[in-house]
Amino acid sequence: MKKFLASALFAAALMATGCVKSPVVGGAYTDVKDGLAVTGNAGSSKVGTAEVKGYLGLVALGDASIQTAAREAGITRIHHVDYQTKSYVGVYTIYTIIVYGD
Amino acid sequence: MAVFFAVGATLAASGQNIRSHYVSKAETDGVIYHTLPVTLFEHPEAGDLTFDITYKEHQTGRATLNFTCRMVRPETVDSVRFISDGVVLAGPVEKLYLEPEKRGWKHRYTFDLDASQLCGFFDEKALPEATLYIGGEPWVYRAKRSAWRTYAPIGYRIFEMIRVNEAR
Repeated sequence: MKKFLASALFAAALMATGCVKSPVVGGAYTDVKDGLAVTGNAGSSKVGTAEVKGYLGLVALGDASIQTAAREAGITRIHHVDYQTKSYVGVYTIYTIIVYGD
Repeated sequence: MAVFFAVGATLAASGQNIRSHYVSKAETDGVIYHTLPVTLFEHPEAGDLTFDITYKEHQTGRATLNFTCRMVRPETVDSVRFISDGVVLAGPVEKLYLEPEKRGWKHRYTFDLDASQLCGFFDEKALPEATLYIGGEPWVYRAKRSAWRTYAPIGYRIFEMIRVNEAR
């Protein structure tokens, strides 16, 4: 019974790794960049980032809002937004939002 | 379980190239590069200093360094000076924002620097310092030796790549 519960918990943790925001997810390792949004504003000279970190698929902390990323670089006109997801066996996950603009 | 960790560790180790440390975007007037935030300096009382660098090709040859530090009270930083084995990146700073936190205040500042000096700045053998000037008083942040030695070659390769691409 204990083995079954341990296996179930491990499976649940692995399933949680599939919860990372990414077009393609790897159960063991994920390192993916993707686009999120584009606006009609022309060009960009500044880049800002913000991130959220997750631990063991149980705890996730941070602020990866577009507003926060824009503020980190003093961006007031957003050109486009990308994101990057990294996950190591679901034990450690990082989601980074990347905002380009002026 | 051990297999999963072994695979993860191997993949993570193989991922130690510069690609995961910067982002870039080609635009009509040049490629814009941005190094992801990294914490390489610390002050015994104030804590860590985290910075990122943005550079756009074919502009003025200037890069923008944004940095975050934390202090007990809201302070006005006048200027900053990064020194690495003779390479000096210094100038007046511009405030992006100050924000109260559970303990103290988060400070976010920006300043322009000469991008041509960045390859020389990221010298693995150096032990650089970052000095913030607050009302004329210096606050010296020293490099975290291990973190610097790990990141300096990456920083060097990023800005070497930018220099080579811009020169084509």
